[in-house]
Amino acid sequence: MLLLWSSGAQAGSFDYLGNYLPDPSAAQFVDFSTDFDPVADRFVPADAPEECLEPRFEQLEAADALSGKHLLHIQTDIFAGCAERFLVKLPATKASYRASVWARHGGLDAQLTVIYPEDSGREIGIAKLSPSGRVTSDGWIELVSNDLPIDGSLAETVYLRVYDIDEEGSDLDALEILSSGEYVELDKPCSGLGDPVCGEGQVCMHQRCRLLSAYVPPLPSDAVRDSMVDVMLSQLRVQFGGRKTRLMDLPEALTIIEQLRYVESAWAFWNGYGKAIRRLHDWHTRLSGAFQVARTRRLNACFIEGDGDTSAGAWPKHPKYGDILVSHTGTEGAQGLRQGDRLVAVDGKHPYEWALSLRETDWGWWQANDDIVLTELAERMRGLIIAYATSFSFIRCDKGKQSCDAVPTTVKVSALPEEQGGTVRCDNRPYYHFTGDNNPNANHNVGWNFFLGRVVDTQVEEEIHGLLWDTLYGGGDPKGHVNKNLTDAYALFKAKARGVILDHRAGSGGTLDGAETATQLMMPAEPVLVFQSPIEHSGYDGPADKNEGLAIFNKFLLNNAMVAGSSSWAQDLPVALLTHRDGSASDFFPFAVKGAPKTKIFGPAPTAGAFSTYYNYEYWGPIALQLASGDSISKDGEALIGQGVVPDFIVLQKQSDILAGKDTIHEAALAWLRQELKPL
Amino acid sequence: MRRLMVICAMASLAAACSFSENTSPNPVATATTSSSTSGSGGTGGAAPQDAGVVKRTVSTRSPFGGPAGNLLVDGDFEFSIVLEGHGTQAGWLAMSATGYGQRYLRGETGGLCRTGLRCGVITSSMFLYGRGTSANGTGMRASFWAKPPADKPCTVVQPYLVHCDFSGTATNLLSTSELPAADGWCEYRASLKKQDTSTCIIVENSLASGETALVDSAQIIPDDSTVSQRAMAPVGGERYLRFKRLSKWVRDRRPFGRPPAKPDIGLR
Repeated sequence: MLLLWSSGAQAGSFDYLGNYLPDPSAAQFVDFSTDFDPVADRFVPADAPEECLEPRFEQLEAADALSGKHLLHIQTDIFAGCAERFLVKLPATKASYRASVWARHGGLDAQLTVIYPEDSGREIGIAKLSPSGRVTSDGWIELVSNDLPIDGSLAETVYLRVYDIDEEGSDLDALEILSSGEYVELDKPCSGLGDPVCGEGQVCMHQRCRLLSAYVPPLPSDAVRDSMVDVMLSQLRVQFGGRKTRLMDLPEALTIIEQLRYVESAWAFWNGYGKAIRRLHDWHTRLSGAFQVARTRRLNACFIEGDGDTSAGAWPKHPKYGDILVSHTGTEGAQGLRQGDRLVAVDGKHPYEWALSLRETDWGWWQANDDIVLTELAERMRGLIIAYATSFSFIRCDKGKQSCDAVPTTVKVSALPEEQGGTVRCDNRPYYHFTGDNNPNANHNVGWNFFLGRVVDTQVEEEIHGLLWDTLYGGGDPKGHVNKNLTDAYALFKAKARGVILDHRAGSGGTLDGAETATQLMMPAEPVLVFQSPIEHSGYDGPADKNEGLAIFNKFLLNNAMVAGSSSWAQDLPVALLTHRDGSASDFFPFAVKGAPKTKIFGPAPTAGAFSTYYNYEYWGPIALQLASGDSISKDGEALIGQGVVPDFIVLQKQSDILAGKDTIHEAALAWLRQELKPL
Repeated sequence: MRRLMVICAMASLAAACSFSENTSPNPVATATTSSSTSGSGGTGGAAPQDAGVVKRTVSTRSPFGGPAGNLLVDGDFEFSIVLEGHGTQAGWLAMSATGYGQRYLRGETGGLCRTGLRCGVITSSMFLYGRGTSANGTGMRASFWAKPPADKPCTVVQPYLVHCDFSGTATNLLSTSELPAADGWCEYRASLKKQDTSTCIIVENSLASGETALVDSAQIIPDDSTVSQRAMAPVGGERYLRFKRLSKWVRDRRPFGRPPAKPDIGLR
């Protein structure tokens, strides 16, 4: 009886004693024994950090090496930018290859990498390795890649790049490179998403066909596929979402996942899984593929939804979607776009209509839970255009003349210069308003910082002050960075201010305590919602009516409430809260203060309605799932997922204001404050 | 379990083919073995009478954990072994024994684990918090597996079912034997009455400094039989305080926002 194991997706086999038998047809096999020179077979890129020059691996003699008598023990430091690279020698011909390697202990990230000469015009080729499902009793697991076409006649360097994930390191053995079929030309020029020139497993991104199938894990074998699909379905059914997303969005995702049992390629399987996850329509939820497709161009401008009043004659409003304006630009690389210009079309469609069509394709998809909120798309618009569009059209405007062109200018993305400079951050703030140097810098790099100051163009005696920040990550530490900055600012406001503007227009959430602290200026202490996590019961769809919701609220009031406000709140201090693209804890915060006696919210649209937490499922290779779980229940018994906080004053940025150097939302808040100033 | 298929091609491999429908939470562990030489190359051939020492066995397992229906977020530890230093909201959290801080949960791989491709490695002064939920309208059956150090009894690892927001009560999962089975693994089980809030697992251990134990294959599944189902019992003393601290720590750091980006070393 012969005891060999092989299948189309895997490399070598094992004899009846468990000895590894490499595939004799392999283009290269390395068992890291006598066939491996730790110096000559190691590759270090010319631009590697200095701390990565010393080898971070050992060649060890080991009785339980998978193959031969040696293995490599890898112990890198990814946080220092260090990985190890081992050269692969391939024939000087064109062919497709797949790689397999065996790893043990901890975890290992592995990729087959091909570098072509800079003057060849060829881009780096990458195939990520992920588990096939084969394991050995002594701890080895097989990692395999999908096909990667390599032009061996042109390739400068081919190597396996690996890094481990913990301080103990991981073992590596039996690297096999197998010829896997015909060569396919890569990186063919393409003119935008859907260009048929791109073949199976390829997507037109950044003006070239990108072989994304080389990034995803292999197609699960028949032996494990049903089980994997069952677990994918189960994860969603048991833990996912809140009432709106479970009832409205989950069924479609489950249907797509169910179909994965029958697909015939790795790309169809994993891309199908990604599509299903994106159908969940959730701000927190995403399937990351970590496709390292380098941006080849840049559009160094930020877009926001607004009112294109100055250009209304040149381009009518869309009946469904808002106008998209240039909020601000970077100093270089804006490709002719200027602050106050209006983006009117991408590939001939309204920018939102075009961006919404990318849900089928874009693994970086990010969408509010609230169906009517599209601000996340506007914030990502520049990256989406550069990655997927053929052309975009905008109406050029002139700040000096306060006017716009009568006809749009259309730019082909392929005509933009190829360069990869930095980009300004998009924070939905066309202008800053604090006196002196208390504002974020020209890169709009708010990050984890807090900016506090007196508001410009106000009288000293008005004492109108403001705080600008985006994070609510308090982390449970009342004296930590976030909570202390908030409490210090609020103490100052209480002591000195007659009116306050809280500018939280790119609120990326944080933790519950940060949201609670942020409310303490504006309202008396009060539980406003409860959030139970993990969800109470498997597959619970949330309260069917307010009575059921109230019962949940009362049940979790003691231990799982968001208690907003403070007994020492500033009862006579008017506060204007500015929102724009806000989600999660940055939903909680405006939700709590909406309706507070002296507080009004100003913004162009509701917040995201992402009233939940999430779980991370870190798979091998590039695949990682982040899945929202749970729902917040208001003191009125409502399930809140999908219901963004509607501003008290819905204010769109006016194009005419931006062109005049004004920030409409700020101006509206300031005008309201002046009517409400705390008495002297 | 419909794909459970254990193929033990040789009597000498039987020990490695010990999965059964009753004990394996991973329904797709298929054994070591076999096929013909065609297409696979290699030098393997028919096992001679004197077969020699089996160095290892090979099987195929689902890398995606399971089983379906598990009420734990990541019962099989497949998605909780992450890049050290990069915090995530994983299904399992490793905590310091004081309950005041998070520790890194190291992973083991492959056949060293009981099921799937990954399992956890616990050390002394560490305890685990496994996120889960409760069955909707029924009681539950829970099981958990640990592989203590050689010569140590199963009781060096002690899992408890608790309310995820610790309510002061718990049910311990009892080991089915005092000592590990021949493969080194201990199973712990409990049946729990219907709960009106979510159920999590906390795992304590009494490992000595330098010792480690593997943990794997945890599951909580709905169980509509009420036979021998227990209610949670009050927890006292230091354990109560530890569990309370742990619960608060988890609640305080529950993320409501965008997570930090992973480190990126670029394309090369």
